[in-house]
Amino acid sequence: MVGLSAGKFRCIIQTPTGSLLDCRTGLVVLPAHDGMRGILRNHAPMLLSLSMGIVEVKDVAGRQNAFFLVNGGFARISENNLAILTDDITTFEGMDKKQIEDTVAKAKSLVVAGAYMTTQTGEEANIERAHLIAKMARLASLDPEHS
Amino acid sequence: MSSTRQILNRKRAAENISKVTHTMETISAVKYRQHYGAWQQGRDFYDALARLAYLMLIAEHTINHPLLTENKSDTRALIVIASDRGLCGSHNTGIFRLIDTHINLARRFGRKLKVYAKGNRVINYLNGRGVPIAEKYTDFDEIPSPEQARRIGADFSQQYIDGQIGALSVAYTRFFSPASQHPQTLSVFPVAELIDDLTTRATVIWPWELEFEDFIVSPSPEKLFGEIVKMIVNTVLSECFLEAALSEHLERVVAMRSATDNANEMIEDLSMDYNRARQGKITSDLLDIIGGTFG
Repeated sequence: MVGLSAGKFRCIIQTPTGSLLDCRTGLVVLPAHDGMRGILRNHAPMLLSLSMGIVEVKDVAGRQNAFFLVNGGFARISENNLAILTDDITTFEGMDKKQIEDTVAKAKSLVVAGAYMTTQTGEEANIERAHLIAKMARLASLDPEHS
Repeated sequence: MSSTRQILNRKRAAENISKVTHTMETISAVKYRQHYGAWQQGRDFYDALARLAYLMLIAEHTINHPLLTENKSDTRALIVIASDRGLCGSHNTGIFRLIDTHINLARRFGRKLKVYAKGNRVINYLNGRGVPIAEKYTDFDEIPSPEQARRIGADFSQQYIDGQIGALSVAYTRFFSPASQHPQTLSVFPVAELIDDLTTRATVIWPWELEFEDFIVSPSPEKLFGEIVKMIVNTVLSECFLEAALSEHLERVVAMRSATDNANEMIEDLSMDYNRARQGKITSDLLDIIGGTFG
């Protein structure tokens, strides 16, 4: 059936514990080491190092947009195939409503206590991660305060 | 001939053994299934990493990285992974044989051996042989968490870059498939040998017509390669611990199943002996009574 997935390309997210996503998508926004990068169909072949940030998979065939928080990893784009390899990933996919609410609440409390914790324990990475989890919930319309 | 009481005691002992071995078989079978699921799910990630590293290694643009080149240190680091408990067939014996080979080779070529051990059995063996252990991995049960694997990987990478060690190998039981597991030494540093091993075992052959030069690379190839190598080393180290645990549980399932079968066979034989002895006793008692009546 020509045209059903026109303008789309394949996106796979692979982790050591299995493949988290395998779909056809129209746009993926990646947290590259030097800033955010958008990937569309017919992108030139590219090997990219990722930093901590949110991978946004938009315009997905047959499902809602998907969001993943990655901490490092790589993206390989070639022949309309995007493969994201990472060993540190957080996602709301597969979580029930209660789990999502708990995770978001915990992340928000960390963000609120962030300034105090940074000075006391130096846990900047955790606070940045908490910030991003709260942002990911907003993007995925899963934040109870913003939905 | 043993008395019925003796036979009964032996039968009870065999029944207890059968229960214990059957329980051990069941526990190991559950753990094996869990680990096997994790092992299978990690295959694609493993293959994808291997292909990425291979793509960079065969590039026309030569990538120079300290983990790729050999250094002059005569100290070799060896991680040995065996089990905490016995009753798992020849699982530990194979690893002990590999350790002996490494010790003999180090002695023959005048190299120092720095041994890192996981598993009580191998720690006892090394202590028995008087081999000093640089570190015992006791802070995790069978498989390190991603953070622990990162810490181990980063520690060895730093030691190699600083020239404290000239090579890193892992002696463990490799899990090829449920039908095939063998003790072997996997060379991790210098990393070229590891990539060679990974690409040889990768299940998918290089699928693209593209070469490294066709890709836009960001950041620089050297920096990107360094990060890929870091991830490969962490993944490989975790995988070694996982495969060792997988092999151990599979070997224990086989050993315990055979022990249970043997115990059950013994119980059957003892039951037969017991019945025969009991019948013999009844017959002799009857003969005594009859003999007394007619006497």
